Amino acid sequence: MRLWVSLLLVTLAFCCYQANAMVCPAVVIDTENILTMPMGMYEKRLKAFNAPADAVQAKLQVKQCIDQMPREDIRKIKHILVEMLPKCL
Amino acid sequence: MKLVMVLMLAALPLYCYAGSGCAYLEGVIKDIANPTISIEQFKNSLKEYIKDDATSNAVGEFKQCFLNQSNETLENFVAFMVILISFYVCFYNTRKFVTSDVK
Repeated sequence: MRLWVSLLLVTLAFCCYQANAMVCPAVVIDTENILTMPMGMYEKRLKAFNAPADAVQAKLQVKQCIDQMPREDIRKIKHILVEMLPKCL
Repeated sequence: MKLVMVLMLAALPLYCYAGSGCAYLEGVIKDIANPTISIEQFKNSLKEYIKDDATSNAVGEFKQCFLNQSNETLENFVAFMVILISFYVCFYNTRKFVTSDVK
C-alpha cells in the first residue's frame, strides 16, 4: 500500500513536470481568447475552469473594455503575443 | 518512509503551482495587472515589440483597460490566471496519463 502511494506521488510529480511545457500555450490561448473570442463564448470557456465567480467576473470586466478597442489595435496586441512566443520555448 | 511521503505531499502542490513554464509571459501578465505600473512603464517593458506609434497606442489602450479596473478586480484577474495555470499543470496531464491506452 505504501509503495503504491509513493509511486503515485512520483507519477504525479512527473506529470506536473511534463505539463509545464503545455502550460505556456494555455496562457497564450487564454490571452488570445480574451482579445478575440465573442463574449458569450469566452464566458462559457471561463466557467469550464470552475473558478470562483469573482475571478470569472474580473476576466469578463476586462474583456468588456478590450471589446471596445478598435479591431486593428487588437490585431497589434495579438501580433506582439505571437512575437513573445519564442521566449516561452 | 512516512517522512518521505509527507515531504512529497508538501512539495507536490508547490511544484505544480511553481509557474507556467514561461516566466517571461507571466511577468508581462503581472505587469499589465499591476495598478502601480503606469502605461509608460508598461510600454517601456515591451519596447522591443513596439516599433511604431500605432502599436504604442494599442499597447497603451490595452494597459488602460486594466488601469480602469478596481484593485479587487485586478487581484481576481490574476487569481484566475493562477487557476488556469494550476488546471493545466496538475489536472490536464494527469488525466491524459490516466486515460491513455496501453498498447
